[in-house]
Amino acid sequence: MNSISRYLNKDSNIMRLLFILLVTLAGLTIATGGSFLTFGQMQLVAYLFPEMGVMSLGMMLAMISGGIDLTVVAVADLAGILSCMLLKTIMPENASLPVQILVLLVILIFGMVVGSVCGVFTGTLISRIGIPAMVATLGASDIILGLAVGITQGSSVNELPSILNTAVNYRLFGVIPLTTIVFAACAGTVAFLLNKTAFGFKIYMIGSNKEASKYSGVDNKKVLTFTYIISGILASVSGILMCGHFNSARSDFGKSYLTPSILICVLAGVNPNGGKGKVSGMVFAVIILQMLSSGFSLFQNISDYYKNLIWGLVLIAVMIINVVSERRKARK
Amino acid sequence: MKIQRLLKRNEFYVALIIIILSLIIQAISGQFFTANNLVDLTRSLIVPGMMASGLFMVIVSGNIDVSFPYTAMLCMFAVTKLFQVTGYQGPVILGFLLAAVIGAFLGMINGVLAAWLKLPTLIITLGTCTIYLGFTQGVLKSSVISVLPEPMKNMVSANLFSVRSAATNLGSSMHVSILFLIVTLLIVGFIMKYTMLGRGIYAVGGDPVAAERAGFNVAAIRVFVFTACGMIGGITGLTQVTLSGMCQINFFDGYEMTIIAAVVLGGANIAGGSGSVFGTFLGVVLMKIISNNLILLGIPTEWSKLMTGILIILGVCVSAYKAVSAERKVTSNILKDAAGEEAAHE
Repeated sequence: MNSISRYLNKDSNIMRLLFILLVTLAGLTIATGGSFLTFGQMQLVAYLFPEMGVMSLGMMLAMISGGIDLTVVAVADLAGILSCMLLKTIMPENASLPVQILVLLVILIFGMVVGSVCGVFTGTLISRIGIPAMVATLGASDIILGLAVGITQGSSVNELPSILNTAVNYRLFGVIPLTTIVFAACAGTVAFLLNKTAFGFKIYMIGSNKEASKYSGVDNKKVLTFTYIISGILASVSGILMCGHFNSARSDFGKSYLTPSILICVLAGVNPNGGKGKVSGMVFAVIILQMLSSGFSLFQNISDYYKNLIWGLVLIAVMIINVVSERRKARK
Repeated sequence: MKIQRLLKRNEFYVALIIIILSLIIQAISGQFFTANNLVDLTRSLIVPGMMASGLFMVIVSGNIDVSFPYTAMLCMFAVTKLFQVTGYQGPVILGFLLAAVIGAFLGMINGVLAAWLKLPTLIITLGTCTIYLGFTQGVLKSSVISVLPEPMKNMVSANLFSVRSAATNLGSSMHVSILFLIVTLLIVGFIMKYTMLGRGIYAVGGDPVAAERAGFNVAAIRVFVFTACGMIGGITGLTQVTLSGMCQINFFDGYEMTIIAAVVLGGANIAGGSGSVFGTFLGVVLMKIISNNLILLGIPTEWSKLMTGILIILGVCVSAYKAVSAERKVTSNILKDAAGEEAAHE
């Protein structure tokens, strides 16, 4: 017990997020007259949040390194489209279940390869050519999304083999959605990379001070490229989850996820100037955001348009709160 | 000497590309250098040209703004709705003033947040742009206004002159709002080149710390560039209405990307500190020529997004390469000097 409270004291950010989470949960429960706090609703939140969450993990890595990755949405779309096209072509008819699962794994790996190729592209632009991350990823996202639009000619990839949808909707023991397990696996891997490996330490170093890390013998170029590759891979996983959820692939599925994914990072305490951020914060932040999103859709009179308004307001408000509280801490 | 200096300027190469490209299009279609095509092209430059000159200041100051298309959209709907509701019949100039004030206010929000929080302006403006979009769709409940209020409707048909091509018998008219573009370009050009404020914007973009030491009020300059960009955005929004004769929510879809691409192609350094209004204008011309003639150049419209992406990346690659080689030159000069001194000591 003592060690828990010591841990919580050490990380006031987690405490704050936990508090926000409980307030959100309580607020939504009261506002909906109790219909929010049901097992079905919670399961829906657990089923939906990984799509946004896995993508945001990549965004977090880029932000910790002092950059930003605006390509996540485009990569998710392109990887989803290409994987679904491959799935349609290689899936044999009337295949047995093990074969279907094998094909699905092949698709997943293929999607991740697409993601990492995109990552190599943006990473190279940023680290080797020296374009600021923001513009490089802005331009690259147009290129990647442009490919996706061009390949599909703006229409969607439909009539997928049912295995993808079945797999994404699968619930372990009938309770835990597979998507949650995928998110846990991704979050675990990213946490391991950041906390237990030299690579993770170097990302934090580059984010805090690029010049200093360079002169301490860190190969900035290599580490940055690798950061964007991982971000691309994560984005592609989330793209495949999205396709499974919608049971089709389209070049504009991810469009609405860009602002939320940045919002999640900022809410989680990731410093947009680089050098700070934790996976544990991300887990809370993404659940909070999905709860809000699912909660809003319970109200008939809040249209999707207001969602935009609210996301923007929350993003600005969180940034103000973070900066003000940090400055107060610094003054002490 | 003069030619050498010309060869070093980015504008020269952009102009060269424009000339070559237009000759190619002329060779393929034979319709580029016709009176009506040139008038149409100029007409299509008005809105992006104005927006680019606003964004140009923001980029020179080392910041970025992705919210200006949404500012334009909000102002467009807000003013048109207001005129509709009140049944306003007076001169249309009031609408432009109103749009300028609303736009300046929205831009100022960006500027104050940027100066106060000192966070990446991309994230700040991404946040505000979703607010502006949500406000337009949710609060103003707008997606399309097809019948304009009287004062605006009158301006839609206000043309300076009309031309008709003999060969194709197609006619085009030059809209009066071309004057807005010219005035905006002149004012921005004057501020950037001949005033202390302009020097300050370049200085902040080059090195904020050095600019602060030199006595520039960095926060005020940040607020100014965003306010100016928002104000120009607001006026542009209403200009678009008078050009097209209606309001539509998707007028400015994807504008943030194409305008950034145009400014960067025009030679402004995306990290701030350099660039010229003339170059920016040439960048817009180049973007427009390409996007207007995609099909003619053999590129289907589905691939147009890919084109903007490639253009942005090419543009920034060139400027990043220039920055790196300039740095190398400085370092090698220093090394040479040091070597020379050492030789002298011996």
